[in-house]
Amino acid sequence: MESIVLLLGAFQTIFSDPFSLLFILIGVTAGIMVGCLPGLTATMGCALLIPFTFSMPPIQGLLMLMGIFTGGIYGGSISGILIRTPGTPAAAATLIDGYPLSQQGEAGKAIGIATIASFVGGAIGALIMALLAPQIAQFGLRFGPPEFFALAIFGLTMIISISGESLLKGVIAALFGLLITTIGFDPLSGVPRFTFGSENLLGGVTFIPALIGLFGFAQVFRNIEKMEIVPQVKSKVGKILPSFKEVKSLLPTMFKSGGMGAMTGSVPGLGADVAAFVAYGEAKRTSKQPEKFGKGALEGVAAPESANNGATGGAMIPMLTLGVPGDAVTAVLLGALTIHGFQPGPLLFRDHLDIVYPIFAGMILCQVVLLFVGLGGARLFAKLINIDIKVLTPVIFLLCIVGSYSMRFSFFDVWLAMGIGVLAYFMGQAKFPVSPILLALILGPMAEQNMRRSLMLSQDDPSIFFTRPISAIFLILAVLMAITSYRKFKKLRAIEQQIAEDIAESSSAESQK
Amino acid sequence: MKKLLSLCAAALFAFSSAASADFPEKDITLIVPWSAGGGTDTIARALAKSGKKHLGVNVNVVNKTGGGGVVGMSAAKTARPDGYSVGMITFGLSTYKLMGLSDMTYRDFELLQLLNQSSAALSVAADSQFKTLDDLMKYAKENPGIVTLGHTGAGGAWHLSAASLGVLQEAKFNYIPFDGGAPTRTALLGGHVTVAATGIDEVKQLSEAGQVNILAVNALERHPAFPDTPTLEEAGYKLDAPVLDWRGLALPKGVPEDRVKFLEAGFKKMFDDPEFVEFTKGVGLMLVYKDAAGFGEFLGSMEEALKPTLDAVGLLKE
Amino acid sequence: MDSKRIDIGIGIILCLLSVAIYLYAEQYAGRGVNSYGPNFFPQALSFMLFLAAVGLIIQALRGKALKNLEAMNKPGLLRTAVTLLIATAYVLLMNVLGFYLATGLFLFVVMTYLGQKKLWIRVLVSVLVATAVYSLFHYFLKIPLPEGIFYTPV
Repeated sequence: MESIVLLLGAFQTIFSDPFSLLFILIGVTAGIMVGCLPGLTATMGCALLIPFTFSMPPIQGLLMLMGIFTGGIYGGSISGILIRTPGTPAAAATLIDGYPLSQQGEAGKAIGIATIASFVGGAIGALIMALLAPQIAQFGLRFGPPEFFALAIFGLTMIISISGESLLKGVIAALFGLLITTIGFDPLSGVPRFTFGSENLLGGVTFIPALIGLFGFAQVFRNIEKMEIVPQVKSKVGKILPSFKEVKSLLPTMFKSGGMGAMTGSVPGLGADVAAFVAYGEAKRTSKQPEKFGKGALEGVAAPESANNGATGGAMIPMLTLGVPGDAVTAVLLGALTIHGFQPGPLLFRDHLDIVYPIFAGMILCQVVLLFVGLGGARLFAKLINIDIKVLTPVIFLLCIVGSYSMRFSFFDVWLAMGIGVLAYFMGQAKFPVSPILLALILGPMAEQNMRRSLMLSQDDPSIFFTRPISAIFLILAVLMAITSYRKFKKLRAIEQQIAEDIAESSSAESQK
Repeated sequence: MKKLLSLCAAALFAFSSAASADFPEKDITLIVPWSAGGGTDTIARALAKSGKKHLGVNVNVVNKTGGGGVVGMSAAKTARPDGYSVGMITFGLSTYKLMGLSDMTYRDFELLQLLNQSSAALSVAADSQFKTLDDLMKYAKENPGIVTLGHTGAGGAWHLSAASLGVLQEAKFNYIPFDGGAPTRTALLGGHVTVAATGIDEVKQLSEAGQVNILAVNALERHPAFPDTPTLEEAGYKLDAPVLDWRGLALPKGVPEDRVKFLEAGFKKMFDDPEFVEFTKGVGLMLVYKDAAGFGEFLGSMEEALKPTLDAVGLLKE
Repeated sequence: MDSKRIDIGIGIILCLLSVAIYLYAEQYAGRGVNSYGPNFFPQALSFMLFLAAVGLIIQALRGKALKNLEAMNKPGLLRTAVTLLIATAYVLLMNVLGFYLATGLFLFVVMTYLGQKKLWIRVLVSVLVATAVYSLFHYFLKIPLPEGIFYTPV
């Protein structure tokens, strides 16, 4: 009860200064812009804007940074939906259904749903954070190396849901991705692996260039190749936003995914990206129409978007209560708080409730602002793909190059991203799905390090994974998830086979006439 | 031929610097080899805050991460030597060559100054059965390999600092590497490891909140922010040369003399800025200034001190 | 196009690759503190990759490969390759011409190559986009960009 009173008080504090709302607005808008450019992530947006907050009162500075966080995670999905190039890793699950939607001329609807889902998920995440932060943080402490390993395995079972047509090819892609994560300096043993003496490879294959290569460059190559064959898609004009009925039918998915996202985000080391994939897999597994997934299912947009914005609130929990960032963006926010003189951790909740609750309230306000800015901009964004493809493609190409460079100001990363792009292009030709690679890149280091760490703790005894309750539960869940998803996958194949045969029959019947 | 080339390069350089006589006339970039939001990054940003005041231009922090710091430091080493790129260098630079990760050492840089030294703290959870370092060491000697000791990464300052204690005192710990300070702290709080070796500033707040108990600090003197925490020697386990974490500033080789002098003076002023000093006090960071010569000397002795420790944990490659 | 031959080819390549990785990772054996050292994960993965690749070959031989691959579009592929070459030249030239000039040139050349007819569109887009990206990165985000040899500080 006390927390609700404090929360209301914090709203009052924020509303008492009109500039606070302005800073949230600036933050969210800037975040969306940064987020939708490939390579510029929410993490980077926050890091780059920290100096701007120096001259502001701490709360307002933080409000702006949280706005960037919220807007950045959301903005990534806009480019994912429009040009199949996720602006941030968290949007990689959204494009699986978002891009087909925009190919059907429904870009506006897809963005509209993404916006509403982001708002719902973000609001759930922010509320959970405001009301339950200390309890969740305490629970999170029970996650040690075996639990993280079990979580990573659980996450990897989502491969089945994102493998597309051939499960075996999806598995191969995931194994390939996992192998890539072993390149570079191994922090557990201090040994450099597969670096062939290159200092650039010592850092491993960095995530952002890989993301841009797998999706951005590959899509640019595909666009150029098919330029004369496939006519350019035009967004529908007129009423483009989703109808109330559509939104209402998606609400259960959004609520569930938002809650899952917040819980995922609150585990240190799991961020918005994992949350989105898990929610996507779960939505597909439990959907009544799983055959629509991958071809423009509205649930396939709503679930990951709700989850990744829900994760923003979740990720703040361990950062504020323990001083342990939930993901890369909250690591930057932690730095910003520290520079402003507030060190996150248990003492922050004791000594600085005057800053903790405005952060909670600000997070909720960010979601509201996001809803208005997003819906207001959806029409404008949707029109972007109506630009002539001969102009748009070179510009996207340029943004991919600059984006992969700007992550660490490195030309090595540009070559790497282009190389991965060529590989991903041919993978697409041979019907190998690329999303499993991405999931493997996210979860690989977590799986490997925590597996080996656990076995160090247990001195080579693998039973540690089954004797600890939380770890055992997640491993059992992973098996269940794998079995049910696999069944669904089989069923889907059968349905599709049937449809294909029906089409073949009817066309042969046609030709006989 | 080589001479001619370098002469040409020098001439070109002289031309370009003559064309712009005033230094600095644009923003200076501070390359940080660790990711945004981390300890090193936060210090860099706090330091850069007063750039405009003391250098006349902004100092922009850019993070160039990867490879345990190698990528970023290598970028600073090979940056254009015009004084507009300054690199943050950290502890890893003392170990890269010894561990066979890179040929880079501090000798490849034009050193500017040392910023800080941190010492390792050995901490246990507040409800731990070990109340003093002596309790812990005795138990570890009697039960080799049972006590789990979490640290922040193989070959890192805190791993080596804890390992040197274990090796010299013949106590066998089960060393568990984590990926940085924050996960190590969480593992300690969650009871997944018995002892944690981290920088003392990294456990400041947890110890103030009464959640962890710092057994000892691996330094020659007590830390001003922790007057009640004994040094290893005071706790009865003397080490001659404690492994210290350090951070400093450096330029690529070949920056014109006058610019080096200007940056030296400028960064010293930023280092002395009351706001920066206040900030470091707040987070429990010990500032230690050494000029270029002193810094070089310190790094030289550091390498010597690290060799036997790295050898003992099996990471020495020579 | 039938994917049978492609799948068998890829399967064989992956088999060889996984064997190579397994053998190469052998040098990391014994570098860790316990029996699951730095070689464990890569070797376990390459073993699984080997099995999966064999599975792919068997699947293809049994005629279960996906049958709906798109035919190679030769002119399109050539166009993609040429654009990629232009991009390579652009990245290399960036260090000489500087970011701004090289970017404008890149956009103009690619648009021309892809067949954008109207000159004014090509010029306008090149200048506008190059200016916008440069301003965003250089002035607002303060990301260091290659300056090139014609650089004069602004």
